[in-house]
Formats: sequence, C-alpha cells, structure tokens
Amino acid sequence: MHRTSLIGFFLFWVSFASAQRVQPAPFNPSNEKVGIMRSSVKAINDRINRVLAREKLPYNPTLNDFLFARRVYVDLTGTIPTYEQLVHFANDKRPSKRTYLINKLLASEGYVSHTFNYFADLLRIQTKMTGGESASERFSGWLKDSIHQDKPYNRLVFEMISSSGSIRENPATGYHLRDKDMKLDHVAFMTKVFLAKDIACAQCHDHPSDDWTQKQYYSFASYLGELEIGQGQDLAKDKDRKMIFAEKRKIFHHPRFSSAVRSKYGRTGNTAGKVSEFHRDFKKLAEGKTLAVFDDDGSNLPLPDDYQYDDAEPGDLVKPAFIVGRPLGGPRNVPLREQLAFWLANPQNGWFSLAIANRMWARYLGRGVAEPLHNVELEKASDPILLKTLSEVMVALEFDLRAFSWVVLHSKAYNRMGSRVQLEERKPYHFPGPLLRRMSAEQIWDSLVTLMVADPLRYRQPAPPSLLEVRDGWSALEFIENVEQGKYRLVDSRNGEEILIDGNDESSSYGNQRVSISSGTGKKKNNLILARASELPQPAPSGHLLRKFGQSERLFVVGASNRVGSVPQLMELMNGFPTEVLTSRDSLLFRKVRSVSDPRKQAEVVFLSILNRLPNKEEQELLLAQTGSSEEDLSDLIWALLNTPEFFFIK
Amino acid sequence: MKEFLQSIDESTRRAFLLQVAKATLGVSLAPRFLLGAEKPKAPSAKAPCDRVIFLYMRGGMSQIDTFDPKDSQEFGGPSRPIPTQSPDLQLSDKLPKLAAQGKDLSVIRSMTTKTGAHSQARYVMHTGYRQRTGMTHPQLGSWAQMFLGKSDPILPSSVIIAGGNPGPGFLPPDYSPLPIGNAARGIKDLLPKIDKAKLEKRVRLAKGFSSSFAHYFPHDEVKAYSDFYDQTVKFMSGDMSEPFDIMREPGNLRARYGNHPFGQGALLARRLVERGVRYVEVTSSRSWDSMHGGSRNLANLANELDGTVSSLMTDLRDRGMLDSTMIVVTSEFGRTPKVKGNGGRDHHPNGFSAMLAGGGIKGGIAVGETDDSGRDPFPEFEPKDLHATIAEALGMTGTKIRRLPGRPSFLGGKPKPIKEILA
Repeated sequence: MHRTSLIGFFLFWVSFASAQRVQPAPFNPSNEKVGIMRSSVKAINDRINRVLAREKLPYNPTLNDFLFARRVYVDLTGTIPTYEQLVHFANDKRPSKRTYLINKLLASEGYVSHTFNYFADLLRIQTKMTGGESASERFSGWLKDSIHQDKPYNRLVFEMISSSGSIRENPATGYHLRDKDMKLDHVAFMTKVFLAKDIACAQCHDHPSDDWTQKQYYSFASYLGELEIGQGQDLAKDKDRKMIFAEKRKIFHHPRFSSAVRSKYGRTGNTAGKVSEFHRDFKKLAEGKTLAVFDDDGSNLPLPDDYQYDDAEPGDLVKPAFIVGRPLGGPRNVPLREQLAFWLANPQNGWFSLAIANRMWARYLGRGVAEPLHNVELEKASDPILLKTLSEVMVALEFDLRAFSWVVLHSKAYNRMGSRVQLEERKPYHFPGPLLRRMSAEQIWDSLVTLMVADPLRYRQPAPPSLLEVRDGWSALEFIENVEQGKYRLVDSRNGEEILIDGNDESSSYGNQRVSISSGTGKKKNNLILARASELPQPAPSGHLLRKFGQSERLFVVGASNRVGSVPQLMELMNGFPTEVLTSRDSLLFRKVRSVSDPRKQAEVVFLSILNRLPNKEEQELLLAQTGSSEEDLSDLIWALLNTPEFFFIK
Repeated sequence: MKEFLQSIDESTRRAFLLQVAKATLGVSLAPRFLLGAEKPKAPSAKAPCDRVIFLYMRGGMSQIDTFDPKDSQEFGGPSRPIPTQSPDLQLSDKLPKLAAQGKDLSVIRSMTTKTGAHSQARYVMHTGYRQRTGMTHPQLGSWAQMFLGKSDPILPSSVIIAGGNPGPGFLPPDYSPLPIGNAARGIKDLLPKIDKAKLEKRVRLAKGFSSSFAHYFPHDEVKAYSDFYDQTVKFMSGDMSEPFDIMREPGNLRARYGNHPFGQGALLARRLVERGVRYVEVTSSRSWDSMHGGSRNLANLANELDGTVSSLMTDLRDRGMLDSTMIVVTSEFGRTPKVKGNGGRDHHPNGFSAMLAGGGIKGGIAVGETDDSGRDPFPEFEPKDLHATIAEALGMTGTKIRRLPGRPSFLGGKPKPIKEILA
C-alpha cells in the first residue's frame, strides 16, 4: 500500500516536472524585422507576377476563409482545424484576421509538433538509435526545445555539427550518433540535407557527370576525419562524478532498492541476479561508459584501399577542403568539425541558405523552385531569380524559420487555390498557386487525432529521466529500466500519469487500443495511444496508420516518406480504428453534432469538422435524397466524408 | 531517358516512374513494365516451388544449439549432436522433432554476413544488400511479385507476420507486403464491422461526396486514389476474413503449431499460401538475443522453433503442399561457439546456419561446414546467395534477373544460387 503511493508520488513528481507544458515562444518580431518580412513578401510577389505575366499565366482563384483556414492549420500545425476553430475564424470580422491567424499558429504547440515531424523526417530520427540511454529521446527533446525557443536554423545546424560530449551533456550529439559507424554516409546525408548537394556517388568513384571526384569527397569528409564516437570520454568533470557516486551509494544502500526489485521481479525467482545486474548497469552509466562524440588527433579517413585514380595513393590522407562554394575565413585553431560547422551553417554560404529556403518554399507550395530538394542545380531551377530571392530573404531574416514561413504564407502564390492543371514532370512550374498536395502521413494521423480527442497534445513524450533525478530505490529502478530496456514513455500532461509503451514491439499496430470515447480522451490499452505523431515512436511501428500512409522508415534515404495510395491504407480509413471511433455515437464528433438539433445544421457540422467546408448544392441534394437524420445516418455521413480523397488532400 | 533515370536518386525516380505509369497505363498495372521486368507470362516449365514461408529467428539464432551442433563441452555448451532420420545430417539434441523429419530438410552451415550489428545484419538478410545511402532495397517477396506478377488477383502477393522492415524498398507501394501484427487477429481490425448493404450504402455516399473534388482536380494522383478505393472495395467484397482467420482451423492443429505468436503466425502462413499468397514471412516470438541469458532461455527458444517448424512441415505434407512450398529458417547472424561465463553466446556473423525444406529443396543433407570450433565456414554463402537460391526455386532466374534501369541488379553483385541444396 505505502509502496504504491510512494511510487505514485515519485513518478508524479519526476514526470510532471518534465512534462509540464511550456508555451512556445510568442511570435513577436521586432518592427525592423516586420519591415523586412513585408518587403520580402513584396519581392517574392513581384518576381512571380513578372514570370506569370511573361508566361501569360493567371494566378489561380483566391481562397475563401474556410479553405484558407484549413490550409494554414494543416501547414503550420500539422492538423485540420477543429469545428470550433474554423467557425471562430469564419466569424472573425477583423480585416487582418488572416495575419492574426498565421501569427497565432506560428506560436502554437501544434507548430512545434509539426515542425519536429518535418525535421525528424529530414534527419531520419529513429527511436531505436545507437547510444542506448534514451539517446534518441534526448535528441528529439532537444530538437523540440530548439523549435520551442525559436532557435535560428543556422544556429541549430551549427550546434549539431560541432557538438561534442555525451548525449546527456549535449543532446545535439544525437545528430552524429544517428550515423555511428557510417561516417562516409553521414557526410553524404549532411550535404544532401544542408547544402542541397548529392555527392553520394563520389563516395565510391568519381561522380559520373564529373561534378565531384572521389578525392574531393574524401577531402570534404576529412572535416569529419577526427570525429570519434566511442566509450566514455564524457562525465570527465570530477564534481559530477563524485556527486553521482554519492548518489549511487545512497541508492543501492537504500533499503527500498532491493525490495523494489524483489516486488517487481520476485516472481521470476532471481532477485539477487537482477539486483547485481542493475548494479552493473548503473555503474556503467554512472562511470560515464556511454557513447560520446569527441575529436581525436589525426584523421581516420584515408583514401580507400581500392582508390583507383592517379592523383593519389590508396591510404593517403587528404587535406580537408570544402566541396562547394569557397572558404569563409573563420577560426583556424579550433577542431576541424567546428571549422566545418562555421563554414557550412554560415549566412555567407550561399548553398546553405538556398537549400533551406528552397525546402521551406516546397513545404508550403508543394514544390521547390528547384528539384530535387537535396540536389539543386541552379541552372535547372524553374526560376533561378526566385530561388535567389528566397535565399536572400532567408539570410535577411537571419534564418528565423517562423518569420520565413510568415513571408511564404503571405505571398500571393500561397494564397491561391491549388493548381487544377497537373504538374508536368520536367516542365518548370511558375507558381500561380500551390500544387495540389496530399497531406503527409503525419498530417493525416494528426488530423484524425484532432477529430477523436479534445486535447491532441495531452500525451507527450517527456524528456528522458536524468541521473540527477534518481532519488531512491524505486526511481533508480525506473531510471535503469528506462535507460536499458528501450521502453517508450508518454506522460499525461494533465496529471503526470506515465504510460509505458513497448518500444521494441515492431509488430504492434494500434488495433488493440481502446479509447474512452465518451470523455473524448485517448487512452491506450496495449501499445499505442492517441497522441500526435511527434510524440509516438520514430518512426511508428510498421503496421501503424502512419506507416501505411507513407511515413518514412528513416533508414538510408533522405525524404523517403511518400504520399502514394495503397489498398491497406484505405482499408484503414474504411474499417480501421479511427473510423470506428469517429462513427460511434459516443465520439467527440457526435457530441458536437448533437449540440445542434436541425438535421441540416447537423450535416453542416460534420462537413465543417471533416472537410472544413460547407456542403455545396449537389451535396445538399444528395444529403436530402440519401440520408435522414437518425444516428445511423450521421454515422454513414461521417464515414463517407472520411473516405473521400478530399479529406486528405490540401486543395 | 536512361541517363536521366540513372542520374536521379531514389525518391525522385520513384515519383517520376509513378507519374509516367499513372499517366500511361492506369495505376494498378503500370510499374512492373516500366521498371524493366518482362510481362509475366505463363511459366513454360513449372517452377520447382511456388510458395515460400520464411521463418525469421530474430536476434541471432545460435547455430550450435540448432543446426550446426558440435560434439564437445567447449563449443557444444549445453547442446550435443543427435542423429536424424537422414544418415547424412545431424542436428542439435534441442531439435528432436525436426530430427525426426530429417529426410525432408537440409541445412546450410556456412552462412556468413559482413556485420555483427542487429539492425544492419537484419537488413542484409532481408534484402541481400548492405545498407547504402540514398536507397532502400526491396524484400524478397516484393521482388518475386515484380518478376513473377501478382500471385493472386485479390490476395496480396506477400505478407509479413509480426515482423518489421523492410518493405518494397525502391519499388512502388503496390509491391508492399501486407503487414499483420497479431496472427490471432489476422486482419480483423481492417475488415468491415458492418453488413454488406450498409457498406455499399456508405461507399455510394462517399462516391457522391467525392465527385466535386475529383471534378475540380482531374489529377492522376486523385484518380489513383479513386482506383485504390475501387480495389479496396473489391478486396473486401470477397470473404476476406476467411483466408486470414486461423480460428477456423481445428483447435488441436492450432495447439500443435504452438500457442504463441510464432506458432500461430506459422499456421496463418500455411493458410495464406494455401489460398494464393506467394511469400509469407513470420518472425519468432522470442528474441534469440540471449547474450545475457543462459540455458534456461535456450530451451524455450529451441522448443518454440522445433515445435512450430516440425508442425508446419507435417501439416504441409499432410495437405500435399510440402513439395511446392519452401520453408526457410534463418536469422541475421549466429552466436559464438564458445559459451561465455554466464552461459550466453555473443554475436557471430562469420559462420551461421539456415535450414531449408520442402519445395525445390533436396532433403536430408548439410551443405557447407564450419570447423570443430565452429569457425572458418566453407564455402562461404552470403544472404544474397540464399536469396538467389530461393529465387531459382521460384523460377525467377535466367533472363528475368537483370539490371533495372538505373538500379543495381536484383540480388546485387554476383550471387551464387546454392545448387547443392536444390532438388
């Protein structure tokens, strides 16, 4: 009895402390910055106006309030708006209400979640990552925090590339840990993601179109030549170490440690073995024998044994050199990686600003000015001048991605309907509006969660437990288990209740979960929970709706997520768990519908909730002809709207 | 065109091919032709095997305790060789039921792989390739669908039970295996829970509400979704609970397969191949990653393997399907011959085993060997060679295995089908 309450209290304390909802930084740019933002919008509009005029193309039709709201909610917060949000916006009479909405959403929790998804895909974040010790959670947590705090993008990249230490000391090291033991690939990913240059071929031979030689590849890679990922260089600070050992003594001599282990593992009859196993694991952790990122003296990246060209010998070490652009000065007496980070994430590095500006444009318009996003050739851009303009805007806004998003969302092109005419491959696209886009897997899942539960961000992945938070036997046990066994934790941000998911169970789909539908809150039974994609294991398990809709496996391909249809995907929408919840008469959606009594209005609530628009004339006729006002009919209507392609496209 | 395809990377290429495919051929037909394989034609001579059940022992199966036993305390550890039904084959005493069917199964004892890291080795065992930047390779069932066509007009051509990655790799999503998490539930969670009339009504409504959008955006992407909706409805109009429902099997048979996810998964696999699925993979319920564990754990692991695989062989034989269904049992790598102090064994990529039985396989022999200390495998066979062996038995060889535009060829490098084990 007392045991339960103790654990309860302790977990409450630790988890709640780490899961408390921190509000994202307000979006409140200085007047000076607002001036730059406004003139940037104008510069972009002027350029696209000119090109469209030259091509004799009109802009696409404008957006009504409903279409606009749906689009910005999906683009900025990763989910469709709720019925209430939509109606609230439609009734807003302020002339600048669209700007107000954009400002509000840029400072929302949804923005953080959605932007995290974007980078998690780009950086191929996997929950199961080298480094044990909740390395991935720490890295993810750091990334979310960075988005929360509105850290400039160049700063973010600088911190990742130059990071050293253990994941506990410096969570940005997760960037290097992700690609442990594949340094040459790591370099190729780096250039694709941050510089829009695909040099992967030159890893093994001179690039076929002679862009890069293998030697150049190795020259560039040599900036990571001293990078080492190995055991234990961290926790060198004696103070910390002493403290941790003092803690350890406290913990293992604490009478409750053994009793905690016994009560948890006693049934298996091997308490003593377990206790000593935990002692061993804890010692390993406390001594800092965890993976750390550091720099060694001398490069470990000689030319490969099968180097075949005449300009050098196999095994030669090559002098570090940048692969595109030019050197930009900077400190010389710092580690090579810091020199690399200084150069790469530098406002004067044109490829760096161009790459992210093009990516952000593509994120909102459905297509980059130059494609593919990870291998840009200026001369193949649909409009090199527009690309240059975007790149300059990015620099002028000091890599503030929220301000840049604000600019794109205020452009004339963004505020138009998606193009009716289909994109022709390898023909330039001139941006009379965005492309018609299918939502990403994350946007579809998060939209379903929005429809199902009242507070989609209630369940959060908390920061992993810290060694310093270990206070007694039970928390030591908790700590070690979390660290060692790959349990995936979620915390209810309302009451601190902790939920463990078996992060190793790849086969789990969410088919076994139950939702307490009547209260409109997600509750897991077995494995997954109705939490936003950003809070779930990365990537989601293979049977999950997210994966069926094309969430990336996060393996060896940058941008491997896809938006292509499949039969299992649609079976999921027709018969799967979300649809079962949404069509049941206890669902949140049903309760909203029942709050109005006129059957016609009820149908409108369903339309506004799912498709975020009102039924048109033909649809009203269809409603009259085919459905009545019984609960059955409402269920059928909800089912039907979830199963129209319109639901998961952004018009 | 070819240069263009070669010069771009995977995601772009896939998007492009799909675009062309949709524009010219209609979604469901296209990619096979475009990606360079021939139109599947009726095989002139019947392939030695037309179904594969791939049983994957996750975590690194200890070959010494299963298919490559050693008769010494130092290396055999808790296991000793026993004779089997075949004079040419010994197995570990932990596998008595399989030993009793020794005439129908064979073992490759000289498998090697280049990495001792679980996830990378697992990737190699599933695709035949090492992981490389910018590319994900297809799993074998997806390749088979590409070279041989769909194995059934309605059922998926490959199914993965209780497993994880990889999927269709760089092939289009049409080639995805259907993932099933829990064999006992099958696809229950994905089948309509409403009656047919109601489903029809709902589908009709959905079509009605889709028309304004489809009309405003006459895009291939939108049309493709309409196609997929039609296919899905067609798929569900058959009695789809039937092939996936192992509760329709007799209770004593279910029990014989083993009352655990692996056993029930193997039973579902048999049910599916019986009805037209070509390739089914089942992952073991227990992980062989027993570096900390001792012999207690081993007994559980070996019993699961022995009981389930022997029951599967018996069941297939009883139904006259063993001749045309290949069973493969293997793992990402093996375990060190020397037992550690705590009774466990470490990762051992250089020298592990695969068991093959049934369709296309010569029974009762061991191919390749390791020395008395479990090392020095000869001749070395890599996962890609195992894949090539399965491919050969399925009739995927000859002109059909060739270079795709801008792609490494199927199975990479120069795989050697392991002829000795083929019937």
